[in-house]
This record gives sequence, C-alpha cells and structure tokens, in this order.
Amino acid sequence: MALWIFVVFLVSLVFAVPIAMSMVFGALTPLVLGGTGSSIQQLIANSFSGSDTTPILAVPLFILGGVLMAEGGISKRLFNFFAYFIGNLPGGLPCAVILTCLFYGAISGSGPATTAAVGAMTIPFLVEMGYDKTWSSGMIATAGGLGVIIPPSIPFVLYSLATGVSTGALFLAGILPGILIGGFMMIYAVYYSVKKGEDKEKISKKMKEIRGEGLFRLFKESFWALLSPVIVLGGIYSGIVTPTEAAVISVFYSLVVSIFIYKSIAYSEIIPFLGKAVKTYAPLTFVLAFATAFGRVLALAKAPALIEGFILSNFTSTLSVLTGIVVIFLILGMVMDTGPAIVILAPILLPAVQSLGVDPVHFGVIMVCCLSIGLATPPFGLDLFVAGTIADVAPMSVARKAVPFILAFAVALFLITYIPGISLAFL
Amino acid sequence: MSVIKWIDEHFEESILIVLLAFISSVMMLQIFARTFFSAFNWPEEFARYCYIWTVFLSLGYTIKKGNMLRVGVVMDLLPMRIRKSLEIVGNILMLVVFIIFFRYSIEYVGKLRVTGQSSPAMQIPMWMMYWSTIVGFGLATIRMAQEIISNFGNFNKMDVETTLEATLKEAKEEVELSTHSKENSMETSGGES
Repeated sequence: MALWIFVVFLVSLVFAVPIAMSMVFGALTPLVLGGTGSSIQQLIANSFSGSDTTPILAVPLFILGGVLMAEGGISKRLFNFFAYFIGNLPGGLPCAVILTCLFYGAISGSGPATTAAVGAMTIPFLVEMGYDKTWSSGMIATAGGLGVIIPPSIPFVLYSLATGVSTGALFLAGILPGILIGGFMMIYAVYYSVKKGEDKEKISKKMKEIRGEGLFRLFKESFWALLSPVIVLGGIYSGIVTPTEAAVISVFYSLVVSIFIYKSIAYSEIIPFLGKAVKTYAPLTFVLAFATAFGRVLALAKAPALIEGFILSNFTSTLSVLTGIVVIFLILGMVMDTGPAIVILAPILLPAVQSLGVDPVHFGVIMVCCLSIGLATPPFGLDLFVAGTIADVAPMSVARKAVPFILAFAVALFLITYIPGISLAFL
Repeated sequence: MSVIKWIDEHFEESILIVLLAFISSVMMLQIFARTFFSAFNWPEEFARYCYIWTVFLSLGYTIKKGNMLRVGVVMDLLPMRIRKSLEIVGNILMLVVFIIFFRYSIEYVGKLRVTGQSSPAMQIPMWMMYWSTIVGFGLATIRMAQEIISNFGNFNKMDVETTLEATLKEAKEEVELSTHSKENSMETSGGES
C-alpha cells in the first residue's frame, strides 16, 4: 500500500498538481483501493490538529517580521558597515556584498527577496567599481539563497515542526555552517578579484567616501538591523522567550524600527505589508496542514519503516547514505520549494538516518543547506532570474558565472555533511 | 456590481490580513502581560484558532491568486494542448476532492455539536472552530469551479505560462518591490543629512 501511495503522490506531482493536493490524493489512495488508511473525517481532523499548535505560529510571524525589516534600505546600511572594515582589502568589496547577503538573508528569511534587495543596490555599485556585471550577478544569486541557513530561518522552523527537533538547537546549529559556506565563497571571490585585477584607484576613492561617514554613524545606521537577529537568538537561548514569541517580538521590533527610526514605512503602508506577508505564507499553511494528515496515512502504511529497511539493507555506511541523500536533495532543490520538500521528506527519512547514528539536528542542517542552494541552480533557480533581471543579463549567463560559487558551496557542504561537529559545535 | 467584483478579488485576502493582525497583536499582548503582570490563559488559543482559519481560507486564496506551490518542470515539456487538457483534468479531480471534503466537514461539525466539546481555555464550542473547514473547502470549491470555467474559456488561447516565465515574472515583482523601498529610504536619508 505504501508503494501505491507514493506512486499516486509522485504522478500527481509530475503532472503539476499542487504539492498540497498531491498529498491529499496520496492520502486518499488507501480509501479508494480498500487498504488501511485514514477516513476522510480523520484526514480533516488531522489537518486541523496539525495546524492547532503554538510553534506553527512562528512561520507567519517570522515571515511578517522579515517583510517589515527587509524594507527601507537596510541592505545599503549593512553593506556600508561591512565595506568600512574590509573594503580596502583585495576582493574586499565582493566579500562585503556576500556578507550583506548572508545577514540580510538572515533578517528577511527569503532568498529571492535578498537577491533582489541586495542586488538592486550592489550590482550597479560593483559594476561602477570595475567588476564584471555577470560575475557580480552570479555571486549575489548564489549568496542570496544562503541567508536562510543563518538564523532566524523559516526552513529550520519547518524542519522543527515536521520532526519535533528543537527550533533553538537548529538555529544554533545553522550559524557555523552558514559562516563556513560564506567563507568558502569569499575565498573564491578574493581569488577571482586578485586574478582579474581590481581598479584600486576607484575603490580607494569610494572607500574614502564611505569611511568619511565615520564608523559611529555607519554603526548607528546599521545597528538596529544587526540587532534584530541578536534579539531573536538571545531571547531564545536565554530561555526568556519561545521561538514563537521571539517571532512576535521580531514583528513589533521591525515595525517600531521601520516606522520611528528608519522612517521607511508609513502607517498607511502597514496593511499592504501584511498583504505581502499573507501572499508569502498562505501557500505554505495548508501544505503543512495536509502534510500532517499525509504523514499519518504513510505511518499507517508503515512507509517510514519500509524506507528505513530499504536504506539499511542496501547501504552499509553512514557516509554512502548521506551522500545519496545529499544528491537527492540537491536535485529536488532545483525543482521544488524548500518548505514543502522539508515537511514531506524530513519525517520519512529521519528515522532511517537516525538509526545509522546521524544526529537529527545535523541532518536538519544538511537538508536546509542542500535545498537552499536550489534557488541558485539552473534551470529554474529563482535567484538567477532575479539577479539577471536586475543586471539585465540572461539568466543562463548568470548561471555560468555562478558555477564556481556553487562549487565553493559544494566543498563547504561536503565538510558540513561529513563533519557533524561543524553543526553541533555550539550544542 | 463593483462590490461583487471587490469581494471576488479580495474576500479571502482581507480576512487573512485581519487574522494576521490579530495573531501578532494578541501574542504581543500575551508577552507584555506575562512580563509585567501575569499571563492570560486565552491568547495562545485565540491565536491558534486565527491560524487555523488562516489555513483553510488560504486554499481559496491561493487558487484565486494562482500561487499554489507545485512542480511544473515536466509539464513545460509537453505540447500546449496536452498541457491544458491535463491541467483541466487535474483541476476537476481537485474540485471533486474539495466537494467531498466540504460534505464531510459538514457531517463532522454535526457530530462535534452532539458531543458538545469545548476548547480548554476560551470554552468556545469546538464545532465553531471546525466551521473553518466547511468555509475553507466551500470557498475552495467555488474558486476551483471559477478556475475550471476560465480554463475552458481560455482553452484555445496560447497563454499558458511555463515555469520559466512564471519564475521570471516573480523575479520582476521582487525587483520592483525592492527598488520601491530603496527610493523610499533615499528620500528619508536625504532628509536627514
């Protein structure tokens, strides 16, 4: 029966039936074929109870906080702050852009939004400083997707909802891998800049301008944005607030900062911003709800146990299993959104890898890292299109220049997968 | 006439926005209350129920907006007419499922009324909360029927978006949004200096 459920689910997916409805079709299969499954009433009740939890509220709230905070030129403030310190070093400006992407991505929680906001400001700037336009776009497209690894991160919240692993632990585990991936990309950026040569004169002139503003002013301007992740993480780890409450605080913190300090949002704009948040999370809500019902049906059909048996009898080492799973995730990340992929696959795969001794937190980090790079991989990586649109370059040329950055990511991913300590160092 | 049009365009959306505003403010209120006085027992339950209504109203909203998450890559490879026909078949199957779920939600709410179960904190009868499933699947049925009618109406037009085009459109929207906010911030920073 488990096989039939998967067949119906996959066929529906391939024929572009919405992911949520593909799960419903899969869940109805045992009823139609007369096997053990949930009745329709149970499906409705399970979808309801799957949504009836407080932790799930963190999803819309973090998304709203990100939408509010991401407005108002914060990308520029962050960039100037980083450029102040490293702009004069070889490859310093591209590195400052990568850092901006990582931090902005942590605040906004959305890859395409990060690529758009950071790219719109920094691509023209990098071109003015003499860097290749397509190369700059490729770099931002890749770095834009990686912000979701650095907390607060929606994919980690979703993994936590799907598996019951602590959100706080996942957030903490994402920090070093995020820095590592960013670091490897920066190494390549420096190598490229040095090899191609940089327009030192232009850069140092611009740097004088930025430094002329004074560290205090730059710090003051970016301070409120940089403080947001600190408040969220600090609140969670000190035990003062739950992740859901931290998300609420991030909403009101962002609102106060953008209305009163940055003055980037007028009162009349609040409702459109709520609308934008709704548009972002609405497609996720019932995917989560139906995933609960679908998961129960799969459990009744003993699917997780079957998959566990299959993996354990065909692969002997943890390494080979993880490698296989990483490859599957990378391919999946190209065609499927991160959120649904996590809520469907995490509960099915986790029991198997856990019995091989993989830490559930470590597995979550691997999963989120793999899926997030999908935004930058051709043919459909949205970030490539966003960067291409900004720079007015064909997305496929952007993709070509993104390849070395994706390779740098792959090296980091390799280390993250095989050295659990990178993810678990702070736990 | 324009009222009907507005409802057609924005009905689910406006409720979803109100629900989001409720969820945020009630949860914030709870944090304040807990920090300075003592916690109430109702805000979390209230926010959860707002979220449950959000879940089921999102069905109709995303069908209307055409932004349900899906995997479109394989369909892009097929010829236009086959794609359109498969889409209609898929939509009709979904319509049938929504109608069935709508019917069973009504039955389920009836059962819950008999048991008379109430929510733990606010003492709201549970069947009232399960009304979200009736309304949600009902609206989804209406929206899907609208969608299928427009499918047939547009069958001979060559207007189907590929995943590539849809992605490009989404990318353009993101860029427009961020440039809008950049102009905003430049105005304000200009005012400061």
